[in-house]
Amino acid sequence: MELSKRLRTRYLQAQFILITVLLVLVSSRITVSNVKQNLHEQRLVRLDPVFQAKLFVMAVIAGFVGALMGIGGGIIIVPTLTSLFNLPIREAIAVSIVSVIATSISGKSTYFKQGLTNVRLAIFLETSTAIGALIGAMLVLIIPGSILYLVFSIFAFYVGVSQLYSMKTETKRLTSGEFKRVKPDAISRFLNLSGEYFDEAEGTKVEYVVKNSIAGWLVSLLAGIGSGMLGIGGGFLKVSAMNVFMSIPLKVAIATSKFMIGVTAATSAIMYYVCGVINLEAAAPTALGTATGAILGTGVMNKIRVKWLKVAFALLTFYLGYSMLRKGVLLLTGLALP
Amino acid sequence: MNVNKVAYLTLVVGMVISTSFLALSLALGALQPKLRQMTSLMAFVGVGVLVITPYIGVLAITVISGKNKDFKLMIMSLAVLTIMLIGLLLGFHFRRVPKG
Repeated sequence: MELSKRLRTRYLQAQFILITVLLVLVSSRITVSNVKQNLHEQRLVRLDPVFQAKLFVMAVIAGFVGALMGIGGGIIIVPTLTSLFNLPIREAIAVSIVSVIATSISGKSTYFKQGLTNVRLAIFLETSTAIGALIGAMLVLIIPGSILYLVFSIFAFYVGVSQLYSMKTETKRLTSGEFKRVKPDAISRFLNLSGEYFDEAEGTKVEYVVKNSIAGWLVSLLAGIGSGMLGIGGGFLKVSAMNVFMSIPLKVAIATSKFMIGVTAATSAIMYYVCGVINLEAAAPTALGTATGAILGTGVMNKIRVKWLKVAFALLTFYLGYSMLRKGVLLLTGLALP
Repeated sequence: MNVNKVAYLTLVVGMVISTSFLALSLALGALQPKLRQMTSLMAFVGVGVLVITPYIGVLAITVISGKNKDFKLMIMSLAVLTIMLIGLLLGFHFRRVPKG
């Protein structure tokens, strides 16, 4: 017991040192001019405490929704920062991507303790999302964004309809243990991706077996491409990949996606950080707010009945689908949909 | 060591350190508006720790799964870490800020 405590203390100390060293290494890459430019940009913004308090409240809401749905919350943060707080779009996106990490890593203890986060599954799917993000960043130069917006929009509508369609069946599957009776595919068996958790709302222990690993991996690849190309977090695609294609209970999909979005977002965020485009005075209250909201969200997610989560998730995907359709049509034809 | 526990501990430590710096920066900004540089520095460190935490998380999973001789997970997490680092290096090389 004593040894375990000592090991844990040493692990925490080592981690603290590692974080500090890495921070110094990254910071050393930042030129003095970058920092000066960053501080100059901040002087232009001039955020006062009241403004920061408003940002904090908005971020709490975004973090709460993000944690509930397994998304980053960027769909709330970016439009709010640009329209209500008059931040330039570039700064809003940079602040949003930092907040996505805050949403992802806050309140994790709850999901981990409840056995909702499946780390093996997250790492397996992250291999494709990370590759997708790289491909997406390169595809930007070849494929027109309008086509991608339309493809993702069709996919989002399909996912929304699938979520509503499976609303009643998922509750039945949870209580009847049907998630456990699924036949696992070879990859799922080989990597031991299946798991279990206790569903507080249904009052039952749910065991699940993962199937269609390749289909899930490919949809995650698509999520990564979208993330790299269009600047979308891809959380809703990851949740859908797991729930609709891989037969994973929605709550596990949400918790696992929450873990994954932080890893994906960190890849982009570090570049914003290094290039000095993050408005620190806006990022501080927003990140703190999303962290607080995410802690609140993770606290209640497992207590909500799965059918209500499905309805909320479907509405979110319809909204995202329509936004992407709107952007796609605008870019392709110049026609502005309502 | 349990991989889930390690991942969780890593993220909690990163979160605590970063939120402490961010909260300190906000408090300092509200109470001592003249210390603008110090406020920015606190926020800079807080955001930096936040951004690096997922990297440390994946690194921790790689190391612990290796120690546990769970080589399947180790290879997968190593692949993720490699891709993340390639992305970072490509970013440095092209000096291009991603869209989001």
